[in-house]
Amino acid sequence: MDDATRNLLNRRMAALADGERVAFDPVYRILWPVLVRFVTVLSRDRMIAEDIAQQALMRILGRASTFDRTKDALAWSMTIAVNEYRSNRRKFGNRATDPREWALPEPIDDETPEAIALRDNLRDAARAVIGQLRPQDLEVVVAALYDVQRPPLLAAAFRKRLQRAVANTRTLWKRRHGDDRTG
Amino acid sequence: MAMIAPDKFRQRALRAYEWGRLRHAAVKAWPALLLTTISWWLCHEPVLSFAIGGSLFALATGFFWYGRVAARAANAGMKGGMIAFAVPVLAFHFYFAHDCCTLTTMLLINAGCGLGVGVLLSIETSPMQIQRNVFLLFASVVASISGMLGCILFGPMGLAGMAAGVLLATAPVAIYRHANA
Repeated sequence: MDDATRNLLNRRMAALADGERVAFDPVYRILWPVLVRFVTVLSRDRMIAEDIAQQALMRILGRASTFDRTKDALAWSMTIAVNEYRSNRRKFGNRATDPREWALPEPIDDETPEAIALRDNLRDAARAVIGQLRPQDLEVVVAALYDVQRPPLLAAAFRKRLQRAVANTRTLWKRRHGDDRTG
Repeated sequence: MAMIAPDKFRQRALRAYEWGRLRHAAVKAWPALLLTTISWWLCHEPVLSFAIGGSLFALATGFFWYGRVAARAANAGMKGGMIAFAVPVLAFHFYFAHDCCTLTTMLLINAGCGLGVGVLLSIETSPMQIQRNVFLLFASVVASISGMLGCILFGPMGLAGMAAGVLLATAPVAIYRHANA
């Protein structure tokens, strides 16, 4: 970021802290790409970076009224973004991500009568649940599972719709079969 | 939190900004709650104390949330209001006590205190280039209500005396500036 933009950001952030709502859009437009680039460098994943940058920007704007005008707005914003990245990493770091934790204790023979019956039951249950989905949810689920043409949506909107469809699927599953999660 | 679609995100961000401002405003308006508690403790008029204190808190929070000249006025009004609250309370509790609390003394002290705060607020507007009268109006309202919390002790006459004092000090200044503008 060049000095002129940095000074502009300082002025606009100070104005926003004073309650000048017209400064909101300039601050939003200047900070968003900078935050995404910055968090992408930290996380090395563009999609995760956009998520974290959104959370960081919400936090920055939520605290805008406490901004100290003697400080540098960019440095202040980056500090909040780093904290957001760290807390995000801690949050996901606490989840079990080791594939060995998910592995079954013994390999399963797929061709035993029990395995075949289980597989068929699961397939039928999944079909029944997916069959109850709304057409727009079904469309994104199918597009995500198979290599077919995606609905005409922006990537972010597609992700959002997919997330909603998965949540709906989960709800339908729980309604039919209960919550079978353990631990 | 999952990724929000870009068109919705701007709205969410704006909402986060406004909520942040409101939270910060409520924190900055805390002296109103302090004055209300003291007023309740001293005056034993909980309904009146909470009604006036609640209005003061809501008004100050609103001004701080809105920002700009309203926030500066609320800040000045709160400081002036602390004086307007403290002077009559201290005067009647520790100096005049019970035997000397006549209507004239009470009116003189309350109105004099209001007048003093009004003069202070008028002086504070001198360096301002724009919106001086708006500042004066908002700050006077906040200071008067804060002062009223201390005047509950003396009933409606005390409240009227304080309001009249602030009005007497600030109105001529505002009218004079308006005429010269």
